[in-house]
Amino acid sequence: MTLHFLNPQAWWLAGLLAVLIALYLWDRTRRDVDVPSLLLWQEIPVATARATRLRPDWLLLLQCLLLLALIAALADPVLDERQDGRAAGRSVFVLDGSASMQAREGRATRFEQARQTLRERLAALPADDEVMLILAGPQPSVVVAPTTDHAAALRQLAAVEPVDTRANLDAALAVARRAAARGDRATRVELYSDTPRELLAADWRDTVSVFPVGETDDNLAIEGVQVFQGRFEDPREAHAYVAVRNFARREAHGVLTLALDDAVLERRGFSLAPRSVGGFPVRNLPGPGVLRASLEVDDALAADNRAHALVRPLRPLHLRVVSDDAGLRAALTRVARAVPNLDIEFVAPAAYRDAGGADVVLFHRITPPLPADAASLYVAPARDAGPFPSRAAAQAVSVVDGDDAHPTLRGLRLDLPLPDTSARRLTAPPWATTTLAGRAEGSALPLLLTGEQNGHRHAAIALDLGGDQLLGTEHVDLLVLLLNLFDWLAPTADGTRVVPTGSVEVIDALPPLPRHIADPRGGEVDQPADAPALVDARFAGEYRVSADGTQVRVFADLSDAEESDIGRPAASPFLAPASPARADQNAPRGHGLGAGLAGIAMLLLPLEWMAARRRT
Amino acid sequence: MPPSAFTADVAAAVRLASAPPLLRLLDRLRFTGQSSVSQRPGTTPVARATQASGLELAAHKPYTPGDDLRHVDWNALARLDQRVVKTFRAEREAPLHLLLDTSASMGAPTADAKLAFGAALAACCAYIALRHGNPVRAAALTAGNDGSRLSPLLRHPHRLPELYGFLAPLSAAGTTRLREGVDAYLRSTQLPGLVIVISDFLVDPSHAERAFDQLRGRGHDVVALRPLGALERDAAHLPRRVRLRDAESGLQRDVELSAAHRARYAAAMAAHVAHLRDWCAGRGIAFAAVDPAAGLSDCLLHALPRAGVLQ
Repeated sequence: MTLHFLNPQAWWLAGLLAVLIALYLWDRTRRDVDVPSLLLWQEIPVATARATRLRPDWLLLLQCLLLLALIAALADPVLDERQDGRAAGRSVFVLDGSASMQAREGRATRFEQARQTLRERLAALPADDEVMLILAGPQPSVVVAPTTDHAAALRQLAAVEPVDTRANLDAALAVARRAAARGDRATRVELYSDTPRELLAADWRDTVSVFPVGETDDNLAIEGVQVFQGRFEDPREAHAYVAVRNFARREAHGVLTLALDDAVLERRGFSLAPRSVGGFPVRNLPGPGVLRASLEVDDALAADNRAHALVRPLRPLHLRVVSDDAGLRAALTRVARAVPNLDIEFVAPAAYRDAGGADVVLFHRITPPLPADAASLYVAPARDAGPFPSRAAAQAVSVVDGDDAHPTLRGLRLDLPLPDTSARRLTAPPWATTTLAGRAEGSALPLLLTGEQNGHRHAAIALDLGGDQLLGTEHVDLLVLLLNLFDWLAPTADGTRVVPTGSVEVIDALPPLPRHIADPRGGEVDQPADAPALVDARFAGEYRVSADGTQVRVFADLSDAEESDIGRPAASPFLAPASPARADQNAPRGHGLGAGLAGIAMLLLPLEWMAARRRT
Repeated sequence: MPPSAFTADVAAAVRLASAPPLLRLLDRLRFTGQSSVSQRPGTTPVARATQASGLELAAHKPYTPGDDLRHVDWNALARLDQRVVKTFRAEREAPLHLLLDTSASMGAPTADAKLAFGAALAACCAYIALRHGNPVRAAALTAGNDGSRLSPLLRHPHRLPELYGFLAPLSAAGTTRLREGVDAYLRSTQLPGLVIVISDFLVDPSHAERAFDQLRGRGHDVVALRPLGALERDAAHLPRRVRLRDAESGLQRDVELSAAHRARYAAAMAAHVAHLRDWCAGRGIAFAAVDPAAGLSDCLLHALPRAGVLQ
């Protein structure tokens, strides 16, 4: 049988006892009072006792008892009646640390509400119960391993903060379930999240206690900033588009500020209907830089009120084409005329020695070794040798699948038929992957292989682009694919990137020196020279990675509509957190003594009043 | 305790007493029962004294040679064939003497503002007297060289600012010199009249009685006004443990006040006032304990008429 307090913070009020005693001593000190005459005071006996001495005093004793009873009642003591034979339990708390938990609900954020509920829950647990705390972020992290040190758990709980990414609740709950699988104690898993129970995977709905937080849907977000700029296009001719979405079920107003690096381009006020999207085109960009879009709104979630995009500088591309096919030469010549800043040099295969300073070398039907100092593109390599070995050609090729996220396939319509041409059956080297897969004569074959080797990017296309097919109006996709490939093969090295939050960015453009990484919230990390420089973009904003004067900037944006849509679905009304004491059979069971102590205080009150009245 | 309009600032209290709205109220008041022995003509009717001319017919008397023929009642001569002359109620000036105790006890408790209230009350009484043609002189009973400080004798309301100028700088200081002050004042004036003594009378009762007897012996009508505030009347506001300091002598007394002690003090204060009242009543001296917190209007319109001082 143990005694514990549901609200131990109330004992801080015990300091009032010192105040009470100080008041008592102050009351005992004599105050000087001027009277007109002592003539009428002669009948009042002179007091001789020393004023500041603490003497036994019934009134003081009663007041102290009254104050103690009130403080003890506020501390909400519970007499736990568990018998010794009953096994102590274990509680695994999963705290959602996703971006939407940063949404403000009144004065506190959802995360703070959840933390407070969890704190109260921790305080209510019996002292011998084990607790475990898991923070659900992009990856789950065990903040507190199973322990009976509740104070340490509270300290750790106070230190955790949400991130600007979505949370992988499934992974976090799986970790919790593994902890629950230990059979030494009865274990319960509790989830503190703004994710409604019905949106959890079916496995969790009946086995996890959910303490929901969050109600408001008041959020405006920048859904995305897209810069439309061709690979070879001058930045002053590029344009951008900003999409702002109102996730609230009421009209919203705000101001959108657009800036290129630190120069403000324009500010636009806007109103958006409930659950609607507004588009803001941006024209007349003055030059290259980081296009910053930010919202000035008073909404619940701030992390999605800014976004970034890169306006790339002009990058001329020098392409060396090693081919003796007249049709390909003619087609590429016409392409070069149409595309500014694309400089094409033709070399006969017999005359090829090296890259000759080109950014990209295009090999047509030949398979020389990878160039040492340039990127390369092998078009229909004809031999079963070289970096991209190939076998017999196939006819009637169709596209089966492609890596949509790969930049080389951007803007392509994979469902359109390919030109009626032959394709080589490529064999992917270990360092390359199949980016575009096709089918011919009943079997699959890679149509596009991409990879990096020796610090340069290389690719191979199975289709033979000879002849006039590049400029055929019915196969524009091939031209787009080729330009995308040029773009990907010779990437810009301007040291600035824009990534979504939650991604891990590898920074490989740094000298082999110790790196210093500063995150958007002021955190700083030093990484050794021998480890790859990694930016774990958990927070929205600008990361700066520097090594001996070389700096790479990584802008992380929370462009996640699911996290920005912080409102509850209509079918899932807000549920108040269940009372921890009633939510679980493992919760402490015992007699609350708070009411009894409050009653004692009420009984002491008239006694104290009578004592005070008697004195005065 | 009702809020008082008075603070310890005597000058402010005197300004309050000279405010036109209050003066309009005072215009309706006059002193009652004045039995002046002054020989100077005035406007105050004097009981049991007649004069040959006047406004109020007192009696007829047989004509004796030498009487002014203008006063012969010719109607009576025609009707009764008797020569009689009319006599009228004598009207004299009734000097008002204002004796204001300015000892330190009048300044304590400060919030009771006894001295300020007394000064304001004196200013009001002076206005009433001057408005009815009676001369006024004020004296501050203080522990000065001869026990009192005098204002000029005023005979016209236009000189009231001189009285205000006399009263405004007064402050509570020194010990109570009631008897010595009255002695000194009587040496300085030869005009019997109405004497209003404003004091807390916190002296040996025999001293106060002696002073009253002296005034009465010189033919003055005496009125005793005792400003008594709530803080002085009741010790309930005092903390439990106090060191009392006599405002005049500086003597100290440590006491621990219980409810019984507070009741005992209140009883002693009530007995002190009752003794004064009874003693004055036995000698035809009007007495009133006035509360500064009630305000000047209440005192002048209710308390003093109730005590038979004003009407």
